[in-house]
Amino acid sequence: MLMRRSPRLAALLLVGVVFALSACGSATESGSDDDTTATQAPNASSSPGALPVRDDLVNPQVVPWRTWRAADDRTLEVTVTAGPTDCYGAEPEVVESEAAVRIRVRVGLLPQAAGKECPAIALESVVPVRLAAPLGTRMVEHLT
Amino acid sequence: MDVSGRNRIARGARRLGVIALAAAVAPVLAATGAAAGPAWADTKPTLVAGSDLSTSGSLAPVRLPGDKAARTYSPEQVKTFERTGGDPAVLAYWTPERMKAAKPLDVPGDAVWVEKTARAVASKTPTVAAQPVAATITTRVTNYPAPVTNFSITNGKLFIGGYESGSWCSASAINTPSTRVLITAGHCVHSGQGGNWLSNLVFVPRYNAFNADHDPVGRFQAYRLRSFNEWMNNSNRNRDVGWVTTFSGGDWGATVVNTVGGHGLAYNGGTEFDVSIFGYPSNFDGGNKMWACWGVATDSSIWDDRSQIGCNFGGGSSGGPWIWNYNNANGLGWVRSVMSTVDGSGVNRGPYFDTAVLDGTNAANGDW
Repeated sequence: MLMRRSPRLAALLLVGVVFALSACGSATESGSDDDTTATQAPNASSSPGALPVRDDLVNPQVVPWRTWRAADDRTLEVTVTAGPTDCYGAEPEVVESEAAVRIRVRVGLLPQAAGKECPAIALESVVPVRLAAPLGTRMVEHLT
Repeated sequence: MDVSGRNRIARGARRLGVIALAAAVAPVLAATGAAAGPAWADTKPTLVAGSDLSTSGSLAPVRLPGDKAARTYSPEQVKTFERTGGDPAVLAYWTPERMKAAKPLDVPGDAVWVEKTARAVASKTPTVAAQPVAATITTRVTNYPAPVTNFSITNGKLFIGGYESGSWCSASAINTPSTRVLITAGHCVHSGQGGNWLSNLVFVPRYNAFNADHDPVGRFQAYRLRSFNEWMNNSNRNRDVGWVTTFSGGDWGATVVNTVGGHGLAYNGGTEFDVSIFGYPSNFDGGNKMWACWGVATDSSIWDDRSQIGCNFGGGSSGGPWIWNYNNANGLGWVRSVMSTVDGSGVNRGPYFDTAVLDGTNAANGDW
């Protein structure tokens, strides 16, 4: 199935990767999603914050994502364990085919956090992943 | 595999040397501690860095998916939880999310040795409050394999957001009269300035997701939380200490210290000391089993009251005990700091334990 890629699909794949990497622009704004973690609401901790999406992370490492949900038809949110969202960011990579959307997430220190101390807590956070085409009925899988 | 095995043994051998030394010194220190007076003497606080020395506590918030607000338990429910080990919904949360890679390993944990060239010239001997105590239930907890070092069951993983959630810290039980108190980092119970108490805390002694049984002696749900006001109001890392009072729980429906023992507490010592650190850093085995790191902690800076050591323990190690005089045979020692932060070069830091930490511990003891 995957082998049978059309040129158009290959272009889609490429766009997908670029999208994921450059989701920076949109995700920095959705960095205002960070505010949900910092609000005074008594139980803010039960809704995870969003990690900033960047392509300039310090020493990014692949971390397994746990769950996913569709935020809208072209945006998935996967959950990963990282540190505080003002110290860590994510770099999602997505490969799309007709049958599946395969996602891998790297987590690393934000450049501005590389020289400072961060609380050594493990926090579940969401990472927004932009798709080139609507998810539809495709499977969401780990990219290995 | 062979190579790492050899390395572990090599490190273990070095470790044994340290232990032998510590063991030789231990009786003297224990005697000093005993001479220093009653374990829970209320001594006058000494002022450190002009900070607020007081602590505050709160009921541990519980909120589950679908709940519109934090759950409030009636006194009758609290009594029931004390008998049954807590709110079943909290203790069971995420249970289906078992690790795919669940396979037994030859050792329950792993360890790193940290070399420090700049060793302290003289370290002030701390005062000892609370002697360590062994568990009263010993049927299973003493059945250790022969690891390179003893990954004490008095230490464990502190889940935030329910059992096996994706957020966690580390913690350890300390010996107080209530036998219910855990010590951890302040940011593991409260998110600091402008923040709130964290929800659905569950302590799992010697949690190990690589074993068939992830929770060897069961789970303990938080009943009350406590931290320094200086942490909660100003996020002051010199005061990044938190306490958790737990319901009876675990596999025997007993208190946490009666189940896994409790460490002692050491305070007013120097910032430089031989330390054994335990925790669940996410950058080592995904935080799925306990890791240890030991070496010489040094003074962090003249600007604060903290200790530091280059363990490179990342997210999830917070709150793990920095144990002085760790006894590898019985897995007990004196908690002299807790894991607080990590920086980009892998240096970990922990707050200084002074009389205010003893006072906070006494207050936590009174939270039951």
